[in-house]
Amino acid sequence: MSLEIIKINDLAFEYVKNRKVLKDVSFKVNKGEKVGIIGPNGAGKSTLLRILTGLECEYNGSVEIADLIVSKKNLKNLRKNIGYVFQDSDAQMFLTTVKDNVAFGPANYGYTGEELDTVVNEALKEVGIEKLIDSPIYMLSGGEKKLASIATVLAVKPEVLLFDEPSGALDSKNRRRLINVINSLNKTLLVTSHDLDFIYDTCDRVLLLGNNTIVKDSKKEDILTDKNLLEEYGLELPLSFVSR
Amino acid sequence: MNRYDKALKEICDLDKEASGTSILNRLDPRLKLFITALFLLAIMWTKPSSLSLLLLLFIYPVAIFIIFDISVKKCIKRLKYIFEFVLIMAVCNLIFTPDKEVGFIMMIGVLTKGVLSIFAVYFLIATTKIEDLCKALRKMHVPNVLVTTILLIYRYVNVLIKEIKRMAECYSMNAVSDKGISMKYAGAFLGNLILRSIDKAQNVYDSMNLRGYEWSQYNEFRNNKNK
Repeated sequence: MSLEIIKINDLAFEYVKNRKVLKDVSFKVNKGEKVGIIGPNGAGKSTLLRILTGLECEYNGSVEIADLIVSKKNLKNLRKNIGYVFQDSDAQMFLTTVKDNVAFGPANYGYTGEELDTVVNEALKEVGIEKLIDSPIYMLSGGEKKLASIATVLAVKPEVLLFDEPSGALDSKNRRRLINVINSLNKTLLVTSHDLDFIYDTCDRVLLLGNNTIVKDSKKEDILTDKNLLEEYGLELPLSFVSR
Repeated sequence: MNRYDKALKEICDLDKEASGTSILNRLDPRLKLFITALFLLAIMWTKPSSLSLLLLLFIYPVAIFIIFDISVKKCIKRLKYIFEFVLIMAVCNLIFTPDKEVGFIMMIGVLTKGVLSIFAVYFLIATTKIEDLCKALRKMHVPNVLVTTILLIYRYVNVLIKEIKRMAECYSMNAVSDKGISMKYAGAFLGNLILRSIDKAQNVYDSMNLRGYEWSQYNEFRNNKNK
């Protein structure tokens, strides 16, 4: 496997004919890299993640993850390599307890008995909520639910993790906890968010999406400190950079 | 805890009971399915007028309640709306049968049959996890589409309750004087609920597929077909 784990070339996508959500999108991500994807509402951030997961396969151009082309016939192998953390944690927590939800993925891939218990415990430990293993989902706070939803994905041991607006609706303590968890993960990460401080704290590189394409791909310092560029695309400087 | 949270808790409790370790829980789900189906057939074949025979069938639920220490109170509480429905059906028999004596016997017969059937199904779902039940159905060559439908309906119940809770709470904040949902808005409320539930359900389904559901044993039939 090459060092480049994600390779996207001339990607174009439309939900409705002649209304492109993405066009001329090309970029590569190296193994272990942490990349933030920012842009205004409707820029195509979530769509890009959906394409990478194979939830949308009808695209033009080429999309490869871990040397596998994203297409319907490769989905099985592809999805073993990809973990997608939804914006709405409830989408991932459809079973009764934390344990059941975390075990769902590995069980589908054939893990059983002690082996299954081990991967569940490891995943929960990685996000620091091993004490919540038997908790019913309706008793969890928003922050705990988010961490549990990350554990559901980690349990499958994917190479690449995709986060869609992970910091939404989290208080500052849980947000910090999430940042620490994300930073401790030794995986390739793609994070979409409007929370530019969060992107600054978790990513090394940033892709700015605007007008349905990538307008800038650079180190986080280059993009997140460029007030004019951000304002041009309906964004603002991260709060931590704004002088009071 | 409001009634929506109570409903979610009940589902959660039922799931926990189904994951228990009693002998009944550990029995092969196929055997439990077979016994339940047999019992339901016995109920179906017994005429509503054969009251003595129907009463004899009560031995099965009573024995299960006693031997395996299943709470009758909990069962009735959880299924009270279904019991109420059976009661209405039974009373309808009394009202619409011209001969009141026959009508009365029919009412008792329908009521007994209904209660027996509810108990039988309750034993099955209270002692078997939905995943195990679905796996057993697949092993018994029940079509994949039917098994998946059962599994997904069960999953989406949570989603639906959460969505109803959100919408009803928003409604009550804006319509303080209304008790429940006003008829004027009921149509729009239901329409929105369906649209939002479809959206949420799609997310749940996507999330299941992203974690290998498509290749799990529930879908063996479809996967083999696609090969």
